[in-house]
Amino acid sequence: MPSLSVKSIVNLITAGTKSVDRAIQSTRRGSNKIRPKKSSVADVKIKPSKVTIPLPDECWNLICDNLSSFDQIKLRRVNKQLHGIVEKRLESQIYLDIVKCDTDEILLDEQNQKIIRVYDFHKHRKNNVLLHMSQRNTALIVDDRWSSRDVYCTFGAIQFFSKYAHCITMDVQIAELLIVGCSTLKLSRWHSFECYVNAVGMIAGDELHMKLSKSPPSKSALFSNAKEITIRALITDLSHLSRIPDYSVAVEALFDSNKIELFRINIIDNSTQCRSELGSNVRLIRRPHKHLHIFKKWLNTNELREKYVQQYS
Amino acid sequence: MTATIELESVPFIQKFKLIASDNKTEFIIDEKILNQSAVLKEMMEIQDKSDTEITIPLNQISAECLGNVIKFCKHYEDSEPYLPPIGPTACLSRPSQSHWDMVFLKSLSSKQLFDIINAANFLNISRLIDAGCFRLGYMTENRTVEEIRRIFQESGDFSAVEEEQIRNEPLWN
Repeated sequence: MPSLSVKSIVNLITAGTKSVDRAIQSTRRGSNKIRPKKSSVADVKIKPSKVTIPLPDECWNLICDNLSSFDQIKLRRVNKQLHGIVEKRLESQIYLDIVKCDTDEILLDEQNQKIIRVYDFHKHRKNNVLLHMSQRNTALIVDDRWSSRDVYCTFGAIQFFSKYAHCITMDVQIAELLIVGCSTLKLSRWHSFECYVNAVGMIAGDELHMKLSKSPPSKSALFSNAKEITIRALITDLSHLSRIPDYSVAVEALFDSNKIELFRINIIDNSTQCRSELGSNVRLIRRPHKHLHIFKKWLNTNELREKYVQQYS
Repeated sequence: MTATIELESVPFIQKFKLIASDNKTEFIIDEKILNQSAVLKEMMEIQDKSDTEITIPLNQISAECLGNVIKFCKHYEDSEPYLPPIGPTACLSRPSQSHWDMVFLKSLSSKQLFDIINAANFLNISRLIDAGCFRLGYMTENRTVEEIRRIFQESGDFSAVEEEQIRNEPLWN
């Protein structure tokens, strides 16, 4: 199945936030945050420490700059001072990108090694999940051959970052995973179902559904601060959208309709590549608008009105 | 005329006496070392330099720590002025574990390391601040929370409720 290239993913992740990052960098340039402003010795005071790690926040921030995202998050649990420092850094992570692709391609490709160094992806110590955090942007990449553990890890990571994110972009498979995570269905069971759907192939898998009758107890929205949500889908992956209503999860579990300003479906047309792979069988694939129609009904686009956008690329 | 030429050819070396917090231990340093501290450099720019030896009391820095700071600065007395790494690729400038800075800081205990970073921050010695933070980064990376607490002799100051809240967060990392 055709997929997005690594380079385009990295571009997608960083696009839109570059200007913000650049602006931040330019404000930082020339004045290091640790260094005191022009002052005499008498003005400079070492902060009194409440704990046995007597370093000012500025120093810990510099240390965090050079730690992996996973290590930074771990530091939150050491003491209150570090909790506050890391929490402040996390609060600035307003962009969240979640991508499902071949992580090996990112990790092993010699050319892309440069990209990793620049964008600083860190691999989870146990699972096939990569994490990147810049000043404003968090990118989470999960392997397209995800295991049950990867699925749990990804959902946990999204739950963790969800409260900070204002602009969320995710692949359609991730959108389905999130809804399942909010449902009464076990993620491991859904993962088995997902493997089965992939095994039967694109045409038969297009019609497979696992309906749940039991709704989960209502909780606050997963992306409680979301203003902009974008779901990225290849035209051949739209069946994930039509499966979303099957899990009996209300749309309110995903975002707060009072806060949302834009809900975008970005459909990437790969039908030409698909035609060459499937030949005449391509006509057996359900027409995209049918999947979209089911999803839009669940999303209640009538109420979202102009906040709902369908984009083709 | 001849006398003037002779006077100009003899380099005038300004000496500075740093006094540690115990008010007893003194360190005589020259301008090359002093200039690595932005605070002291700035101070001396507005100071009358007529004396051959200027005394600077540093009540906040212990003798042991000041000795370590001077040892570090002495190593770089003939080096180019330090420019701190900035920008998105700043993390690429991290020195290797075998770099002199890291070896020097590795020889210090955790307390000495914190003291030297605080002193560097107080005196605004960019190179030492960065080196100390890089060293601390090496000490914390890939460690568990318990290991970090053990290294820094930190018991954690969360209340029972906060500890419980943190424990209940989704386990994914």
